[in-house]
Amino acid sequence: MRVALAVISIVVLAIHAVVFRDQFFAKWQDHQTAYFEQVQKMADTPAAHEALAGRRPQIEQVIVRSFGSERVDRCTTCHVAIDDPRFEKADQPLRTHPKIPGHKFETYGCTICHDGQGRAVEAKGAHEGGEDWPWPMLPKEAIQANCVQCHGEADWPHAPLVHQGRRLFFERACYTCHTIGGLSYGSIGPELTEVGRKRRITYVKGKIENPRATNPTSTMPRQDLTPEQVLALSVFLKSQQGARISRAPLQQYLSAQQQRPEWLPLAQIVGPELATQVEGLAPAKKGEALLPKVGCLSCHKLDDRDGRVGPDLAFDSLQRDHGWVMRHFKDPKSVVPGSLMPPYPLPAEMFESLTAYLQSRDAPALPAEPAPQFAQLCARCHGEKGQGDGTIAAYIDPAPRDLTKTSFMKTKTRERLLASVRNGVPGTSMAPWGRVLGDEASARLLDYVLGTWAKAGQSQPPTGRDIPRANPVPYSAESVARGEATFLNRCWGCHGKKADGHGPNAADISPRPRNLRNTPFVASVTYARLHESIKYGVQGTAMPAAGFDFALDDKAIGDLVNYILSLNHLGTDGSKVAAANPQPQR
Amino acid sequence: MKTEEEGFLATLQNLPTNVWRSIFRNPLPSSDLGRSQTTFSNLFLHVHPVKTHAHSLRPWYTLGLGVVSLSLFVILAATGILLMFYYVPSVEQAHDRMLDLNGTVAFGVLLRNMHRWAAHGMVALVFLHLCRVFYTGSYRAPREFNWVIGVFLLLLTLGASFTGYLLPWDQLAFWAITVGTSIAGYAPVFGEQIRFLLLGDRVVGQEALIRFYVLHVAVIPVAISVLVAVHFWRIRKDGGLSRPEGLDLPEVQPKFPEALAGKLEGLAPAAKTAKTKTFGVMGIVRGPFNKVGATPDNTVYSWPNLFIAELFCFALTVLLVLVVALLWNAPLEAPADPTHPPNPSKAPWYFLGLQEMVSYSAFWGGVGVPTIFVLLLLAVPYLDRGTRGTGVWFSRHRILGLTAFTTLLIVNLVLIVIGTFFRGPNWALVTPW
Repeated sequence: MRVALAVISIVVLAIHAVVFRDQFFAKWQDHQTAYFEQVQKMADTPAAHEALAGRRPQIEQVIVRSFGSERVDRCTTCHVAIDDPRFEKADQPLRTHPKIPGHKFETYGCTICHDGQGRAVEAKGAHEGGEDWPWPMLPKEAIQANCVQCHGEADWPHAPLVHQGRRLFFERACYTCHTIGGLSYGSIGPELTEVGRKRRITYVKGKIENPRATNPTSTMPRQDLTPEQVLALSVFLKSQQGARISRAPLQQYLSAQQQRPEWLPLAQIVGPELATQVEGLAPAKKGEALLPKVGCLSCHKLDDRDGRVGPDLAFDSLQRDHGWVMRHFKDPKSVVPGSLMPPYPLPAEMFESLTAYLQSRDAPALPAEPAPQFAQLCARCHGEKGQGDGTIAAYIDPAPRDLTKTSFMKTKTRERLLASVRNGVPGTSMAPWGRVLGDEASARLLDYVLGTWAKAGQSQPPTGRDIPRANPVPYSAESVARGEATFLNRCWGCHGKKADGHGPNAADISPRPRNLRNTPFVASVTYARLHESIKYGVQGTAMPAAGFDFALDDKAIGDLVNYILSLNHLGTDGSKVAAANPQPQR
Repeated sequence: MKTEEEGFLATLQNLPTNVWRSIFRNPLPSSDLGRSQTTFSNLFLHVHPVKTHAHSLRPWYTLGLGVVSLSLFVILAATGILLMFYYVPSVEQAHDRMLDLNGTVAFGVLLRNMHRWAAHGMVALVFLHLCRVFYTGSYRAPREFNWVIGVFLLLLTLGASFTGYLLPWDQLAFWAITVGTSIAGYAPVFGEQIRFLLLGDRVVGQEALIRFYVLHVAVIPVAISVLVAVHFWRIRKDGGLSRPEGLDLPEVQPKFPEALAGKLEGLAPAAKTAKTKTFGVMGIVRGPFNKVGATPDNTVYSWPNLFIAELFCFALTVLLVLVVALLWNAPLEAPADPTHPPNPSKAPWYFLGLQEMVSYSAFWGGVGVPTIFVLLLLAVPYLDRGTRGTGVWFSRHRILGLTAFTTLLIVNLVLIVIGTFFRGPNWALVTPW
């Protein structure tokens, strides 16, 4: 015990020795001593010599009270030569800081431009500021983010990176999903008003380069940006710090209070130069000039630019009519409820121009054979091999059909499949390809799909099914209530309690359970089809034959359909429309 | 003249010895008498008995957990007082002062690290000490009340650590305290009031900071010191550390002649109880052991046996705290920002079991279960009135109590581990790897 005690005591003493050495022989003292020695050699007058001889290493600091909250910068403790022009070629930390007119170190300190942790006097702690420090030193090339904190941003010419980043923020459609107070009003992505204050620039950069790096389910599109553009965008975002020295508190308050406007001024989105250039142009020309600048191609494909998130716009004009496109611009979810596309904060006149441009474009040449047709038109969603795993499939809801699922493809009537190809499927991203291909080519394409991918041969729809053509139960509140009871008893596990297709079991099911609140889709199918799907199930999917498995008679199924119609506010009229017309126009 | 000069010289010569003797009344002891006198006449040593039972000195019986806890408290007091010279309990300055401590203050980082890690260590060690006392059955009569004091000391330790958690005023502190105090808000009827009393406000702010500061540097340390003194006092008065029965056989026979019993009939009850004990002054010292005469002597002198063991524990604790403080920096996050909660916001680790339970049921997890748990702990010595198996680790005679305690212990530990490592944003289950 005595020996152990002695050993421990000696170790404790040794540790104290180390601690004291570190404390009294700090790095910054070495730097200052080295500086004094070199200056000693340079000094030419005896008076200067004497003055220098009296200097001892000490902690130097600048206390900045004029800009924002108080800052204490002790950087000059090591960087003792920043003001000494003779050290321009010296190694850090003893190098001269380039002169910036009007910026005195004694007034401004260092961290106001460079970030970092000014109170520390040890290199790593000062530059990086510890693991959890949100403001490590900005890399030199990103420093413009802090210049604009004082110098404003819109009219200051010395921050080209911030300007470029700002243009990219709009050009790459960031503004449609993200909010930056006073600048944009998106509500799909996280707010970025104070992103520069909360996040390190390395994080912002990483997020732009690979949106899924920190969040594997992120739907943010990955942009094709050059390293320089990535830097510009991150510098712009780093400059977004909410409160700003250049802005009076009242201004800040007012900008935070600002209501979301219906649309943003064009000059703000594409920059004042382009905005004046396009003024007075014909709508189609205007649309052509603006389409690449307002962000559409961040997600969509057009010619050689491809955002790899949304459908190809080249065929858009030919497939969709004017009303559909305009409705889609104003609120994409009104025509495709599962759409990821944000509502665009542009004036209606701009939508007209964009639509006019798209519809004025010539149709791209189409190959004559079905195989290349499939590769060009269908593979983007349905996948090269028809497995429903195309480039943009992950962003599409409902997901593109897996065309290789024989049990599904074989049991549907040819008429129904052909209608889907020719007329599209309302409420989904499946467009009416018949308008591009014509009826004959559509049929050939379908045959190609059935033969090559589905391996279905001749379709063999089940026969002998007993399906009423119209709802045996008239639409009424009681019927809806009965349908709801059945739904909450039998269907919600997959379709979800809200019937939006997101039940607890939905994640394990492919294809996903149908979103029964997809009004355009529900309105487009006949009563008979709904009844059949419920009664006999949907072969090739997880939908069971509820009529038999759960012993639901035709009346109970009628109630269920009434409940589904009520969810979509279709009611009596809707059910009549759906029963009478297989392709109703909304 | 000559003699006077000589006398003065002699005085000077003897000065060091005289000063030394005036401070330490006894020379370094070389005899048993000297050891007794040294122990007895020194304020700091006389907390100990002159002689200690050999069983109490077995390292594997106590594991030194109590002494280590006290050592940590001493380290915390010392580093804490030094830190107080630099700390300002103001929301504007607190975090900057932390940066100064980390950057420019001499030994600032080391002091802060030592204080932080010793605080976590004390929570853990006090709890381990409690486990030791439980597993050896040392809370049993006549030591029931000392166990109760110990439980209160554990609660005070948690309180001290929790109040100290807020002081750096960084994101970690701010949100941990926000979470921790909102757990207090789940108490029935008075929950909101308790929270308000604790925070001095509806949210964590300047009022909360000053309250926590005063609690942390004055109220709780004083309370701990007083209770520790009582704790030690009771150890001696309850007959030293527990040890197995029958360790000092042969059994002491009452020396009171039966014949005398009749003559005491008319006397006061106190005198009657003395019948089975002993005569003399020692008769008023209660305890199961006869202090005079026939007790077989299994004791050793506290000087040096006990003191060196205690010193060893203290030195080892200092060493470990130093090493940990040199290797790992105490966390310091960005300055507290009430508008940006980190996700997830987590309470200090020792309350993560509570937070985990709160995620299932606010009242039961935050108030009901912990209250029951503390009441159970307090009631332990009054529920367990057995005598077999006292003073032995994991005695087979106490299988029921051991199982119940171990179960609760493991449940709590598992909850803490889940809360610490397996909870991610929105308190969703995540895997830490």
